[in-house]
Amino acid sequence: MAQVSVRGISKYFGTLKALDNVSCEFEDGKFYALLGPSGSGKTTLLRMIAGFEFANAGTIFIDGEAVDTLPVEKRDIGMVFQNYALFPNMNVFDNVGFGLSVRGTDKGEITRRVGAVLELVKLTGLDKRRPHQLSGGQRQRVAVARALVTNPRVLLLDEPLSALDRTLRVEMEVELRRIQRDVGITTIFVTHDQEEALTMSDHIGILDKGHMVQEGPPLDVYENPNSVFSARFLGESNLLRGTVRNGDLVLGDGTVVTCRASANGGTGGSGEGPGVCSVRPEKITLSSDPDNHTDTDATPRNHLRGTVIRHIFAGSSLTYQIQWNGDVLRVFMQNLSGDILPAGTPVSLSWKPGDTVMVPDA
Amino acid sequence: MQHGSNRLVRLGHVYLGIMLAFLYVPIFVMAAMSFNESNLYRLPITWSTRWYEALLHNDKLIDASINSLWVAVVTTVLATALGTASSLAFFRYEFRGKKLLQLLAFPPITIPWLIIGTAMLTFFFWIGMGRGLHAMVLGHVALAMPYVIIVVSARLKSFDLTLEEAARSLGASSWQVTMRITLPWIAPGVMAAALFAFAVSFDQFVISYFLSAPGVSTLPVEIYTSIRKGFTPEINAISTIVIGISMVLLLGVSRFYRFGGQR
Repeated sequence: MAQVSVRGISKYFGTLKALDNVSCEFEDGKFYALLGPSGSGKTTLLRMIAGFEFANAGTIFIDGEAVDTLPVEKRDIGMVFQNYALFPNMNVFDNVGFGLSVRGTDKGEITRRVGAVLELVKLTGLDKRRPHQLSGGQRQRVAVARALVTNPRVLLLDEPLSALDRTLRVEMEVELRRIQRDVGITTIFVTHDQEEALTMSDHIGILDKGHMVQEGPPLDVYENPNSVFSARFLGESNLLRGTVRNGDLVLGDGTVVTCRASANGGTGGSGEGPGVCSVRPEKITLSSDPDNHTDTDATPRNHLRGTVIRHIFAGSSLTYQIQWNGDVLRVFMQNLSGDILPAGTPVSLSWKPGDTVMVPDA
Repeated sequence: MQHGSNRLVRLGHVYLGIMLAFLYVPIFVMAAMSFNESNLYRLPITWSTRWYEALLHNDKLIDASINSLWVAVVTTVLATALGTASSLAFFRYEFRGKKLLQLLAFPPITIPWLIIGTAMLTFFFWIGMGRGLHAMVLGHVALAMPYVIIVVSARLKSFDLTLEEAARSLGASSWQVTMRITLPWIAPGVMAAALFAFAVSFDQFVISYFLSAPGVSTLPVEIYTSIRKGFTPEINAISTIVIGISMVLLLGVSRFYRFGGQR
């Protein structure tokens, strides 16, 4: 088990800047998600920690030891690949035992440890199967077992769930997290799926165009996005644009929206000029009475008037698209009443000032 | 339309028949004559194995056969090892001059053997190495390597390089990765390539002819020399044996390697 430090890492592929002075700390025993769109550099960062790519600048430490000149096979890491990369010419037992076998571990010890790790991933009894005889979920478990059998210092996961269908993915999200907790291993998980990042990790790092945009615990990053990119990439956001005045946002139609600055260094609200607010769709309350301005909260709520364009019904919840002043706002509602507001209904939207985060317009 | 296409198909069959006849009738006649008592190709064929018995006492042909086998085996081992290593390098790494090197590997297939043979003879004399079996082995390896590279590279196309990365992440050294992951996967291609290399060497006449020292020749060279001196059905006999071996080799290749397609 180990702590990983990435300090000032830059990486170029030709003239392409894959990573630009990225620093982050991965604490011992925690589950980290590196989240970003394709081309954001998240996989490059993971491959550098593994030792498949080398930095143009900066240093990577594992347990305080600089590993920049250490080849992959000496880094003592475990990695699960996107396509699992199971050895097709070996059965499950030999796949899982490979890391021990190349270290010259004796047969009895290999049998014991492979048995133990197969039990951990709930694959006991499948030792003799070949990879092509396994289901997608089973292959995933073999890949995880193979990566863990050598008791590596860090577990690296490269979009391991992307090849699975939705049901299996949700199941494996829970399984991966259980296994990680059982073993207590520092885990770095690369994904472009914000839902995976939110549900699985202790800590999220959002990457965009080779920069670490924001990092922190999932709830903190979600509630306090520090940029438009972060607000839109992790979860959904309604972005309101206007002019900043006395820390509040004055919209185009003159409505004043009370905001708060992001707890994560959002610079909005301090000066005057154009500004952007982010409001999460589930924080907004819809009322079919467009003049419903009664405030029950101690602090007055923000209000807007709009018109229903359409709804998306998902059983337990509803998503409304609301026409407002030339913009489309999204509102999530739980299906409590069993009613649906038809298109064209004038509505009133309201939400707490505390749910209105001023973010720098980038 | 239907009628026309039927006629086309029939024409195709006739064409195929003619092609096969051109290829195999001479071989069949030769094989048949090797079992004929008469040395003047007199018909009807009287069954006899006298030419095969005569072979047993033809020391020149036997020596030449042994030389051929020796050269072919050494060539096979060297060309397969070097060619497979080159294929792996071309597949794994990006390096300066890679395209050029890949291009340079293939001319031996397209340059006429006569020219390569002359060039090698000149060169080997110039560096003082001269002629002989050692020179032949060098020449044959140079000729066989492109075939090995082509066959092994084709097999490597279906290999997933992430498997090597996975093995390395598990602590395997480059040698362990190659021996335990990569080679087992490309083994059928390597086997096919080895058989190709053997065939290229064993059948080689032109280069061997140029590079053989007086008194030391290979089977094709010896057959050619014997024919010039005066034809005996012994040549039919040895040729029939060689064809038999070649056929077995070909079956071996097709067992390991499907031409022009995926297995």
